[in-house]
Amino acid sequence: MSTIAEPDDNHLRFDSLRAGFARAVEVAGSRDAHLELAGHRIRLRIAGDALAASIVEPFAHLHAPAIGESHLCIDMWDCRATGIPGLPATFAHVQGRSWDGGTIAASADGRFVSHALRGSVAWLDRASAHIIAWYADGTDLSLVQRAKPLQPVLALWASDRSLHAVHAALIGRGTRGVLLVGSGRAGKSTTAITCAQDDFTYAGDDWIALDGDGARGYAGHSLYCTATLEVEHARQFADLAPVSVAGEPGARHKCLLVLARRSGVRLARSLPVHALALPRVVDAADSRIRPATGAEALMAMIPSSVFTMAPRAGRRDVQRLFALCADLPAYWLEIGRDLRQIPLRVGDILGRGAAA
Amino acid sequence: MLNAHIPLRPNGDEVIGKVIEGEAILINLATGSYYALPGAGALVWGGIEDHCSAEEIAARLASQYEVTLDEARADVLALAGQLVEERIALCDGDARPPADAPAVAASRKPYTPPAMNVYSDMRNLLALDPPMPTIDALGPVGGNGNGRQES
Repeated sequence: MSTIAEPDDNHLRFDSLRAGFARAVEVAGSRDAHLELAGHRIRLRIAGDALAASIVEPFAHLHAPAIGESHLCIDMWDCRATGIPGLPATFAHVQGRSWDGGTIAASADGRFVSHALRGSVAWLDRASAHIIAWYADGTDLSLVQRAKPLQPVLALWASDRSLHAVHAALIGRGTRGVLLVGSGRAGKSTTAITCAQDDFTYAGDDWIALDGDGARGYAGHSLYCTATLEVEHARQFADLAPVSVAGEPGARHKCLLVLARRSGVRLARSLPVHALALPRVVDAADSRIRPATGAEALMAMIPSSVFTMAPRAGRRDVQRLFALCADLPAYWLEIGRDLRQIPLRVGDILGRGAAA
Repeated sequence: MLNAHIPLRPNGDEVIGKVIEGEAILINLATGSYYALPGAGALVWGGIEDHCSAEEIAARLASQYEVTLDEARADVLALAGQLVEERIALCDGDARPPADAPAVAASRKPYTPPAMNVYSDMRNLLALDPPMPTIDALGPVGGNGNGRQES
């Protein structure tokens, strides 16, 4: 492999990354895509076929015509496929580790932020809205890298535009959406996928960018059309062709589902959020809903949406969560053994929201 | 033991709180703990947000709930002590005479002493070395000043 100079200065370092990507494109060409997220145009370029095949898929529903100037540029390369090595993340001013073993680091002025995870580093230049990432081997990506590529740096880019990443799923009918909130294993993914197989629109699982306020109304924006499920749960959705993928070291083995692969699934980039649903699995035959308080909704959201996101939520993000839970009706969604009832009960929630 | 006449205030540097449908939910972003104060506890938090002393908060309680001022004072001091210990609330200056007591409501509510539910299940995440920083810790973007774009 050839080498890239490692200058001390952060700007020069980012320039070196830019040069590294350019050289990777010279070697392997690039697969280009244009996306739209919450009205922001994104240009995605990937050098390395295997990496491109994995990375583009979760964004399949965001594809948009190439019109005008991009608001975010994402450039990525596969070191193994192109022979172009990456640069290590060396910021020391702000550093932190996430639950998935990743490391986030930022320059002293906050302009450059990097996220390192299992043989990959993604860098965000917040001032120029440019992400450059390299992966050591595009054929060897983990579950998180395949299901939610670039999540921390995209979350920060979105936050810079007042879009707040929450740990939730979003489904809807027509122009009305239900945000499914709660900690892991509450039943969010099962609910979202079951509804997507019915006549609901699917906007995402695990990572939704929240926008708006009580006066304007709330909207959720999708970034990934993927879901991850425990292996035993994924068997119930065989027609979505779940793929078993290794998790990060120490993490559970899960299955990756790409909703764009099934033609009957309606995917949405955005949905207005009219109600909150708090799924939980109960030992009962039937599923049912009952009203939840705003405080209960907030308590369900706090653990994962405030503390496990990378980066963690800031004060403004938490205040938006408070407002969301105070402004919107919330319902417990008690999931019984008959999963076919789930879409009916979610439909009931939308019906009640419409009446209110 | 807290002095009942010293004003209290939220620890605004670390804590965010809101009363939703009569229940105060508080989050300490620095420690990872979060708290729920239902019923009379929400009124206590409201008093702390207003920089009241325990004595003044007790008077508010006694005006709205079926409880004597002495009993309310003891309960408020106990809860306020917990809140200060958890660094959710801070003492705010010197002791002062209480403000005028609020008028007693025509129909006072049945009283259950104010209590706080503590949730510390996320503290282990913040014990990572180093923990994931908050968006605020990363700061507004530097460089050419294209920082957060307000909607």
